[in-house]
Amino acid sequence: MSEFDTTGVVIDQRESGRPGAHALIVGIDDYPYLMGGSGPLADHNFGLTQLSTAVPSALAFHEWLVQRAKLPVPLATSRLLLAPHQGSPPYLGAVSGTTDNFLRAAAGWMRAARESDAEMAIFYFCGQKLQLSSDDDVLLFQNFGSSLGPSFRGSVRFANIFNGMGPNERTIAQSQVYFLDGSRHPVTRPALGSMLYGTTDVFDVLLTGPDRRMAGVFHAAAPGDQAYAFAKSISLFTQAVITGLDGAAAVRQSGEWAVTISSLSRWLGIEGDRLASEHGVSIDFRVSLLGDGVITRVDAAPPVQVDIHMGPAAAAVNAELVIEDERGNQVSRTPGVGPLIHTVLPAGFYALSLVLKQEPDKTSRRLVQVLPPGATIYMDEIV
Amino acid sequence: VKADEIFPGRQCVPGLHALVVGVSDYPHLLSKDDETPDQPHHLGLRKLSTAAIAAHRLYGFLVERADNLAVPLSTCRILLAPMPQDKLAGFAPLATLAHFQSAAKAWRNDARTDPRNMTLFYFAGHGLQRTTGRGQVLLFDGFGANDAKMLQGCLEAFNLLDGMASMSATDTMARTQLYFFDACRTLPEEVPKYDRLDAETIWDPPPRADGAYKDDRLAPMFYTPPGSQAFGIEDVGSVFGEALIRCLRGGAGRLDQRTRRWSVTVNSLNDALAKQLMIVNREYGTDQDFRVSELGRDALLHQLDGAPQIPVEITLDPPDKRIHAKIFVSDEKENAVFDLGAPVPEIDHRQVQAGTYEVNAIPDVRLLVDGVDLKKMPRKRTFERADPPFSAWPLSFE
Repeated sequence: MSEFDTTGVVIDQRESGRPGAHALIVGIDDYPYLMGGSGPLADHNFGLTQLSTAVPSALAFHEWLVQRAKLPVPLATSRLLLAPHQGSPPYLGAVSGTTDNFLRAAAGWMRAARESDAEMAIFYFCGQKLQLSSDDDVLLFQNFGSSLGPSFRGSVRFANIFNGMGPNERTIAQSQVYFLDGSRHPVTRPALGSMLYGTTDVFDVLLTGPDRRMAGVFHAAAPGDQAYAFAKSISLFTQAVITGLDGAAAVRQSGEWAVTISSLSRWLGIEGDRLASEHGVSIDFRVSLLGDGVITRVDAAPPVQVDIHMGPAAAAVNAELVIEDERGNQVSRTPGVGPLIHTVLPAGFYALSLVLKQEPDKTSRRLVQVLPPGATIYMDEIV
Repeated sequence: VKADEIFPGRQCVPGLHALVVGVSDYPHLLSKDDETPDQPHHLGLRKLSTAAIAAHRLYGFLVERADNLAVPLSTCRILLAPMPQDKLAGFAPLATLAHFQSAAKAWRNDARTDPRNMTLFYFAGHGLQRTTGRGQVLLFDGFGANDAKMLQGCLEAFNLLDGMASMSATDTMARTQLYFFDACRTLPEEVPKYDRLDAETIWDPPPRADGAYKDDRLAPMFYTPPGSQAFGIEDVGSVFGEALIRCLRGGAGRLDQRTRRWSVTVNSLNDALAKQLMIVNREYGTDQDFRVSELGRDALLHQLDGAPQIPVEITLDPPDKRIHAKIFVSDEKENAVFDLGAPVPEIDHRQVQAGTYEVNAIPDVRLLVDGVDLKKMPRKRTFERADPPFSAWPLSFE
C-alpha cells in the first residue's frame, strides 16, 4: 500500500470484491498567506481573509456521512483534510489541507474509485475559491500564496478534478457527487494572466468517449457571488445540504424514500430562496447535473409542513376535517376548522374529508400527495 | 413577416427574446451518402438533414405560445441553413457566423432593455469537444472551408454565454437566460493532434471597471454530455428537440400550488427531460443523453392551458389474480374515471389527466364460480399519481 492510499484516510472499511463509497473531504479555515494569517502576506491575495466555518462544515458533512448516510453502496473509505487555525486537524488520521496532501489523498481516492463502475465517489470542499468563469472554480488550499513555487501552486482548478474523474475510457465510479462550499470570489482571467498556469494539476485529463457518469456538482453560490455562514458555525449551504440529505429532499423511488441528485438540486433551489428571504441576503445555490442517481436512502417518509386552506364556506359552516392515510387509518380529526390549518404529515398520500356537522353524510373529499419540502392544499369547494 | 424577427414593433417589457439557429447544410462537407473520402479537416463530419427542422419546430412552438410563456415573446430571431431541397429553404436568413454575429448583437441589445426580460438560445447543428479550452464549439455553415484553420466559421460556445453577462451592477441585462445546445460533443480523432484549436468569437468579454468576474444571472445550459452524440430524426427534427418540445407542451408540467395552474419551469423541465428523452430514444432507437449546468432558483417557462394528459401503464401482480379481479379508478374528488376487467389485462396503457387517483382492485362478483371463495379474493386500495411525462402504476396483491 502506498502513501497515496493512506494519506488523510480516517475510515477504511473496504471489503474485497464489494463496491463501496469513497469520500474526499476538505475544510480549510487557516490560510497563513492570506490577510490575517500567520505567514507573510501573499503578493496575490485578492483581499481574501481567514475563515472560521470551513472546518466545522467539513466535519459536519463527514459526521453525516459516517453516522446517518445510507448510501447505495456502503461507505468504504473517507479521507479528511482539515486546516483549523490552531493545532493539528481535530480528527484522528486527518491531515492538513495543503496541495501536497491533497495530491496524495486525491490519488488514493481516485484509485479506490477506479476499483469498479459500481463504486461511488463523494467530494466535499469548503474553503476559499476563486471564480474565473461560470464553469471554472479554483480551489485554494492552505499553502495558497506561499513563496514556494508560482503564486497559484497552492490551488487546484475544479475542472481538473471533475474531468480527471471522468471515464476517460477506463473503469471508474459511475456515481459521483461534488459539494463546493464557500464564496466564488470573482477575478478575471486577464487579471491573472500567466499566473494561472501555476495551478496544481491533480489528475491527467483525456476527454475521450462518452461521459455517462451520474454526477452532480453542488455550489454554495452563483458564479462570482458570496456564500454565507455565521462565524465558527456550519455554513448555510452545508446545513441545507445535510438537511436535504437527511430527508427534506427525499422523493419516493420504487417504494422507498431516497434523496437523488435531482431531488437535492430541487430542494436546494427552494431552500436557497427561503434562506435568502430569512436572512435578507442573496443566496443562490447552484447545481450542475449529469444524469440522476440516488445519493442516500431515507428510513421513513420525511415530515412535511402542510398548509390546508379551507376557504370561507368550510370555515363558515364550522366543518370538521378528517385526514386518513393511504391505508385508510385516521390521522387526525379537526373539529371547527378555521380558514387555514398548519400541520405536519409524513410524506405520502392522504384522503382529506370535510364533514358538515349538521349533515354528516355530506362530505367533500380530496386525495392529495404530500411531498417535501412543503405542501399547500385547498379545500375550498364544499358540498 | 420577416422570419428573423417575427414580432417587429411588439415591444413587450418584460419580454422573452429568443435566438434560434439550425444548421443542416454545411456547404463544405460531403453528403451523408457520398462515397468520396473525407478530408482530414472535416473531422469526419457530413451534412445534416434535420437540424434546421428541429430549430424551426422550436420557433413554431414559441410563436404559437407567444402569450403563454413566462413573459410574452417579444422578439424571436431565427437563422437556418436547411438542405437545398428542404421546404424550409429561404424561410430565414442563412445561418452563417456573420449573420449570427449580427443577430446575436441585436438579441443582446433587446435582452438588455430590462432585467426582468428572459432570453432563450437554441442551436441545432454540428458541435464538437476539444481536449483543451472551455469545451464546446458550435459549427456554422462556414465549417470545413479552410484546411489551414480548422474551426473557421465556428463559435466558441462560452463566448456567447460570457457576452450575455451583466457588465456592471446597474446593467439591465435579462436576469434569466436559457441555453439549449442540441449538438454533438464528441472529440473527433483529428482534434487531439493539435495542441490548441481556437474557434471564433463574436464579441469581447464584458469589460469590468473593477476587473472582477461576477455572474449571478440564472443561466441554465442544457447540452449533450461531453464525448456524446446528438441524434436527428428524419422529417421530425432532433431527439433532443423532440423531447424538449414535448416537455414544454406539458410533458414537464407541474401544478403550482400557489397559483393552482399547470406550468413548465426550469426545474420541472430538468426533472422531466431525462424521462422524456428515454421515451423518444425508445421510439426512434437512439441513445441521447443530456447534461445541465448552473441550475439554481426555479423560473417559470411556459403556462399550460390545463392539466396535461399523462400516459399511464397499469399492471397487476400476481398475474393469476387478474382473472377474477376488477379495477376501479376514481379521481381526487372521487369521480369515477375508468374501470378495467375482469379479467384485468396484463398491461393497460391509457392517457389520464395529471393528478392523484384512487385505485381499487377488487374481485368481480360476476365471475365467481364454484370453488372461488370471495373472502379469499384479493382486495387492494392504493393511491397513485399521474405525473408528467408518464407514470407506471404497478398494482400488487401481497
